[in-house]
Amino acid sequence: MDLLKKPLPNQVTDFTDWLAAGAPAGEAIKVNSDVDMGTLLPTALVCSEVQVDFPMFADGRGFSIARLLRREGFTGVIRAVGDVAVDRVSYMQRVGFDAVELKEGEQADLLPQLVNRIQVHYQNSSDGSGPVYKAG
Amino acid sequence: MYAYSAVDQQLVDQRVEQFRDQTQRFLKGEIADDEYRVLRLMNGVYIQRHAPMLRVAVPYGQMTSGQLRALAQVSRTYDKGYGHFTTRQNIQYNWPQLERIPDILADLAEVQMHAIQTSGSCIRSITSDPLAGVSVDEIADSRPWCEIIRQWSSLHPEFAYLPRKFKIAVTGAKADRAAVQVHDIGLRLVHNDEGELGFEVLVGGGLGRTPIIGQVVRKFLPTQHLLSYLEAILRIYNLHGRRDNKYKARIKILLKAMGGEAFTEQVEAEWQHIKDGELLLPAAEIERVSQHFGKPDYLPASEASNDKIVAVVDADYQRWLKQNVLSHQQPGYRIVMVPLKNPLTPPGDISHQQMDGLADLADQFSFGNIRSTHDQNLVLAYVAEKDLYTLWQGLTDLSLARANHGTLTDMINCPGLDYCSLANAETLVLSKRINETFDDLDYLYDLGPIELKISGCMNACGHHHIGHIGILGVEKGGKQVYQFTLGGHDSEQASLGKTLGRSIPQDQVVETIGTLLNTYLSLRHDISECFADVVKRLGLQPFKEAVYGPAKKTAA
Repeated sequence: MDLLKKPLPNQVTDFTDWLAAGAPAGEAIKVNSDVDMGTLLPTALVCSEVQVDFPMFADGRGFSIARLLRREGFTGVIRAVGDVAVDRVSYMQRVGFDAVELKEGEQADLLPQLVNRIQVHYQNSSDGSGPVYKAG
Repeated sequence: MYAYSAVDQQLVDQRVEQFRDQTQRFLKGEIADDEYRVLRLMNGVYIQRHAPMLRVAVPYGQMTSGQLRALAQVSRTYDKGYGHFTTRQNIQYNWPQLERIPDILADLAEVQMHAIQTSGSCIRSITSDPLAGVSVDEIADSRPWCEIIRQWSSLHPEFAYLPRKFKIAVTGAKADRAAVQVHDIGLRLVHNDEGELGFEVLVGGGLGRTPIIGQVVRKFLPTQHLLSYLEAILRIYNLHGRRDNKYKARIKILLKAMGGEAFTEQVEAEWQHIKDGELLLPAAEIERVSQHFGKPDYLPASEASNDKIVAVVDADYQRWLKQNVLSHQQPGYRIVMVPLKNPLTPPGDISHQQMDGLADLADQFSFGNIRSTHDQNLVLAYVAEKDLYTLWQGLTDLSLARANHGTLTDMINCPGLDYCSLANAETLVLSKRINETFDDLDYLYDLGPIELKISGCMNACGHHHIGHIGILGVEKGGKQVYQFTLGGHDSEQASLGKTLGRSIPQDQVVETIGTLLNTYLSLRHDISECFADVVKRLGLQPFKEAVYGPAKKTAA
């Protein structure tokens, strides 16, 4: 999966504005890291893309947000935006992100080698690789 | 002792190369300081007062002799020839060069060791009862569960950027030697009414600036649901823990803000989604991990025991036998405590010669197994009674036979201002003076078991809140002064110490301890009533009057 290849949507609507507009299907929305999951999960499934904002890299809420969206059955694009650096993309991919927008100054060319540096996992996750004890 | 599978080894090896690459890019200026900081912290590398500091994981305190030799080798090759065992059963090196840390980690990977998640805002390495598998009060061996948690939490993609650090401790015995009530999650192995094994789950304990005893959020969790329940707790914490103030970011604050009931409801609701999913532990996996922690090839009691052990007429040996040697669940065997409380070195410090020597003794007398404890000591857990005298001689040659286990001078101490960039006050000078002043073993034995714990700042790495006597170093107007708390306890009935009164200048700390001890001796019923019990019975007043004098009252 190439997380840099997914084309950016033409228009992105802030989640609250999108809700206020009647939650139209097929649109791309953007959520903040403090989004209320109880509101997001039942409504966002009709979107084509959910962009999850990382306001600063230490804010790891986005990892759980993506994970829960996938568990809920969301099949559209989940894109990490904001403070996104190449060294964090492998974890993002594992929790369900399939697109990232790197912050300025990041060495995008490193990404292919960095995301696969550790090839075994102890956890179940959204990228389909189960915990090792399930692999038999 | 758990031995890595090919998968475990691959993960650790690849983690080393990942960190090597990150460090090289940082040194070339391709990763910014604050960005690299987070990456290195997740791999145990701090930048301290004098140099980088590397904290190597000793998962749940278990080591082989080969691993201890490797730790000695690292201290010789890359550091100053010693290591420092911490209150979380890990070992720290205070003087490595950043450039060489990837090489250290590669050396350690060869003996199945790592520094994964020994620091940073992630799930830290797991701690447990150092007497697991050998103690006389065991309900079930905690080690297989610790290993299962170690694996699940290692490089967990969702929980690497938590609001704050996250510590999990497990105990499988009646007595609590893992301080589970002061961890973010504490797990106690228990049996339910049907006799099934499970966990009592405590959440929200912790020391630091806001010391709190953990609350029970679930009385019985069947073992196969361990990981899904942990994941549910972590997910609620990751989404809702505070991120605006790092001093209010631990799960204990979230629990307090939400209320225990509301928090538990959310965890249980999340758990319903995942409890029967992929995290449901297969019996085969529990069995696979458990097999690594079987009993060693014990000798029959008749061969292991030796009536003569108590007959050796050497007063030092007799003292050691009485103080440092504990009963064992296997007939004919004993547990030997190895205090790292040499009066001339900081508590927890051990030289490379001592590490090598102890590894040899472990091979000879303890099935090659060594454990570390949360009070910064080591343990040889499988010693046949017939070997005790020879072992004592060996430990004496290594200066590791000081018979002060559980006494006043077996104190916990953070490194303080001498090493740590967070500290406000020195602590090592205190432990040195305490050792010099209270060097009469008979006096120490007469005091009985007493826990003295010293921290150099309010982050409380020295666990002062749960010391019978706790000492917290603070800086006031450019001077180092020390606040005393009394009556803390880290046993099954954990309690937090209460502040004695105004701070004590550094040069009066030892004298104050002496006053407190004499007050205790004059008030206790007998030796079975420990210091914390007396504080519980009589309150602080008699101690306040003894230290500050009756006239001054204590308002100051």
